[in-house]
Amino acid sequence: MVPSDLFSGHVMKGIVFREFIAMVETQFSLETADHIISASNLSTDGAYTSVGTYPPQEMVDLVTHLSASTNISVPDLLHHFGKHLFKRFSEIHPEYVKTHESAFELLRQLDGHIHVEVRKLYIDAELPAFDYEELGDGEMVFIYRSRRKLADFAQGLIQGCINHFGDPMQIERVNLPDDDSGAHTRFTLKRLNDGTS
Amino acid sequence: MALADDLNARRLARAISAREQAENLLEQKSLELFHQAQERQRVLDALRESEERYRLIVELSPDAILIEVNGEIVFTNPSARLMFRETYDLSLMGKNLASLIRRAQTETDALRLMISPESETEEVAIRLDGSAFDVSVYRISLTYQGQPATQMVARDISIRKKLEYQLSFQATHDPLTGISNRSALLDRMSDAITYARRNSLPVWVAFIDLDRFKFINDHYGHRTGDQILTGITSRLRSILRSNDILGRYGGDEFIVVLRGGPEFDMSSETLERIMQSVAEPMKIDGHSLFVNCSVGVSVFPQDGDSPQQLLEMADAAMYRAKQSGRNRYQFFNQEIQAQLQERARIESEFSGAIERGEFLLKYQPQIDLRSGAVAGAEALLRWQHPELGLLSPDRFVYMAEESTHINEIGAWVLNTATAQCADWHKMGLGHLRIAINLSARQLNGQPLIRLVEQALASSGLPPHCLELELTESLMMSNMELTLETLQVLHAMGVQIAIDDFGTGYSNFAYLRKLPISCLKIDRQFIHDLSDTGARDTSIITQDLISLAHNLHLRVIAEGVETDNQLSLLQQQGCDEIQGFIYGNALSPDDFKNAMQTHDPTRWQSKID
Repeated sequence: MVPSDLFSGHVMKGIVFREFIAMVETQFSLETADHIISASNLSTDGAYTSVGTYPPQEMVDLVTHLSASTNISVPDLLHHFGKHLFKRFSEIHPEYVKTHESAFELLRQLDGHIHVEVRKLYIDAELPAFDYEELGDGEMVFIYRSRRKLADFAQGLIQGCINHFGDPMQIERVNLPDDDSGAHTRFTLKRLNDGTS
Repeated sequence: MALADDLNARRLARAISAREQAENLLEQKSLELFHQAQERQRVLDALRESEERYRLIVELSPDAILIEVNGEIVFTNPSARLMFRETYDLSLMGKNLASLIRRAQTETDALRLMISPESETEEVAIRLDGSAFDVSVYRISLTYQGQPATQMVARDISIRKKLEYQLSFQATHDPLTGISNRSALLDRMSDAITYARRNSLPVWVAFIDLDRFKFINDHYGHRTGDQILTGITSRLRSILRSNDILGRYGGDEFIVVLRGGPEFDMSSETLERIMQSVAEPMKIDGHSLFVNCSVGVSVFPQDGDSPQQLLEMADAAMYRAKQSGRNRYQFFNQEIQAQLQERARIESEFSGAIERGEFLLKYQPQIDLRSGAVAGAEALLRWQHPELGLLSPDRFVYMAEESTHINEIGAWVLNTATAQCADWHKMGLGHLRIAINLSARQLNGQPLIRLVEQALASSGLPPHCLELELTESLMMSNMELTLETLQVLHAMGVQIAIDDFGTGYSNFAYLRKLPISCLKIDRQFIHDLSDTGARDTSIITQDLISLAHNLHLRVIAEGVETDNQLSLLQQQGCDEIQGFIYGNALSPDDFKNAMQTHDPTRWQSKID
C-alpha cells in the first residue's frame, strides 16, 4: 500500500476504514465507533478488511455521523484523520517513507507512476486524484480532484506528510469551481525559510 | 453490562466478518496466483518444448549445419561432423567455412551468388581428410550469441550427382561398348560439322558394317557376338585420335568421324587400317574368330552438310561396297547418288504399281536331270516400271515387306501363277509343277491357308502341283506357327521346298520334323563349283544331296550356268536344276511356245 492507493477514484482501500475506526475507538470511544457504524448505511455492516476495497461514500457517511456525535465539523474531522493516517502510514511502512528525502519528493510520487499503475488495474477508475506542478523556488501546486469532496482529508494527508519531514511549509487552499470531472481543489505548498509553520 | 456485551458482540461480529472477507479475498487472490503460475508454467513448458524441438531438428537434421563467427566455426551438428568426417584428431571447430567449400564452381553459380548471396548453390565440399563430394549449400547471415555469424546448411548430393551423371551417360552411350550411341553421335557430328564449316575443313564419315556378323551371332551365340563387338570397339578406339568420333549406329554398324586438318587427310591407307583393325582375329572360347567389314565413306561438305545426310550417303556407299563383294571400302560418288535417287523414286511410285498392273511374272523352268523333261517352273516376280524398265524383286520387295502391300502382291502372285499353271495343264503341256516364293509376312497361318485354298479352287490346279518355297531363316523365326501352317498345307497336298539351303543356320532336327518335300541348294555353292579346284564345294554339294536323299527329299540346284556344273550335279545324283544354262526366265507366252515347239534339244541337249 502506498498513499496514492488511498485516492484511487471510486474505491477506497479497506485499510483507510480500519484506521479510521481504530482512530475513533481510541481517540473517542468504543461506543462512539459502534454508534457511527450502526447509524451509517454500510455495505458490509462496518466490517472492513485492510486488503478489501469499499465505496468512498461510506467514509463520508461515517465522518458525518461522527461529526453529529461529537459536534466537531466534518472538515476538521477529515483533516485530522488525514494527518493521523499519514502518521500511521509512516509507522507501518517506514522503509517506503525513508526512500524519500522531502515532502515534495514523496508528494510528487502521488501522481507519476503510481497512478499509472492504478489505471492499469482499474480501467474504469476516475482521473488521477492529483495533478501537480512545481513552480520552483520551493513552491509546488497540487490540484486535487474528486467527486467525494474529500479535499479536507487530502489536505490532512499533505499536512501529515509535511509534518513528518519537518520541513516548514505553508499550505494555501483554493476551492475551484466544479467542471465535468467534478470538484477541484488547489493546494499551493510554499517552503518557509524562517522556520515558522 | 448488557450494552457493553452487545457492543463487543457487534465488534466481534465485524471482526469475524472482516476476517471472512479477508479470507475470501485471500482465497480469490491465491486462486488468481495459482492460475497465473499455471499459465506461466504452461508458457515455460511450451517454450522448453519448442526449444527442445528446434534443438532436435538441428541435432537430427540429415543436413550438415555449421555456424561461423569471426571466420571460425563455433557450432556443428552431428550430421556436419559425420559428413565432413570429423575424427578425434581432426575437428571442424575453429576452421574456416571457406576452407570446406570450393565455392562457385560455374559462372552461373558465381553470378547467382552475387545477385542473391542467400540462395542455394551446388558446390564441391572438401572433407577434413581431403576428399571431395558434391553438396547443395545454403548460407544465412544471423546473430549467434550476440555476434554476427554465418550459418551454412549443406546437403550431400553426391548420390544424386552420380545418378545424374549415369543417366546422362546412359542416354548418350551404347550400353554394350560404352561408345556414343546414335543420338549422341548425331550431336557430336553436328559439332564437328560446325567447327569444320567455320574453319573450311573437311569431315569424313565412315559407315562400317560388319560382314557376316549375323552368321557369327547365330552360330556362336549372342555372347560371342557381343565380345566381338566390344573387341572391335577397343581396337578402333586405339587407332583413332582423341578428337575423332566413334559411335555405334546399330547392331553391327559403327560410325567413325574423322576431322580433316593440316595434319590429316583421308586416304586409302587410313581406311585400310580401320578395316584391318576390325578384321584382326580374336580368341574367344577357344575359337579364333574374325569378321570383315564393308565401309562406306562420305565427306563434308561435298556429299552433304548435315549429320543425317552424311550418314545416309555413307550408308549408301557402304551398301555399294557390300554389293561389290564385301570386305572393301567405297567412297560416295555420283553413281551411288543416282542409285539413291532412283531408289527414292521407286519407293514413291511403288504403291500405285499394283493398280496400274505393272507387276508381272516370269517363269524359270526346272529340269528333271534323269528324264531331261521340264518338271515345272519357278514363278519370278518382276515390276515393269514405265521408265526404269523391268525391275527384279531385290529392288522393291523390301518396300512391300515394310508395307501392307506384301499381302496384296503375294495374293496376286499366287492367283496368277496357279491359274497359269492350270492353263498349261489344259493346253496339254504336261503335268507341270509351279513353285512360288513366300515372304516372311506371308507366313501367317490361317490367312495363308485360306489364300492357297482359294487359289487352288479358282484355278483348278491339283494341290501337289503347287510348291511353296521358304527360306530357312523364315521358318526358324517362328517355328511353332510355321510347323502348324505347313502341316495344314502338307495335308492339303501342297509341296514345301526350302529355298537357299545351306546358307543359314541349318537345324536338322527341325528339318526332319517339318513336312518338306524338296531342298533347293543355294546358287552360291553352284557358282563355286565352276572353279575346277573347288573340291571343298563339290564335297558340300555332294553332302547336301546325300542328306536330302536320306531324308527322302527331292533336290533342286539353283543358278546352274555351266556344263561343268551340270555334269558334276548329274554325277552327284541331283534331281533337278534351274538356271541360265537354259536361258533367262520366260514370259508366259515364251514359256508356252518353248513347250509347244517341244524342242527337246532346247531342254535336253545338255543332258546325257
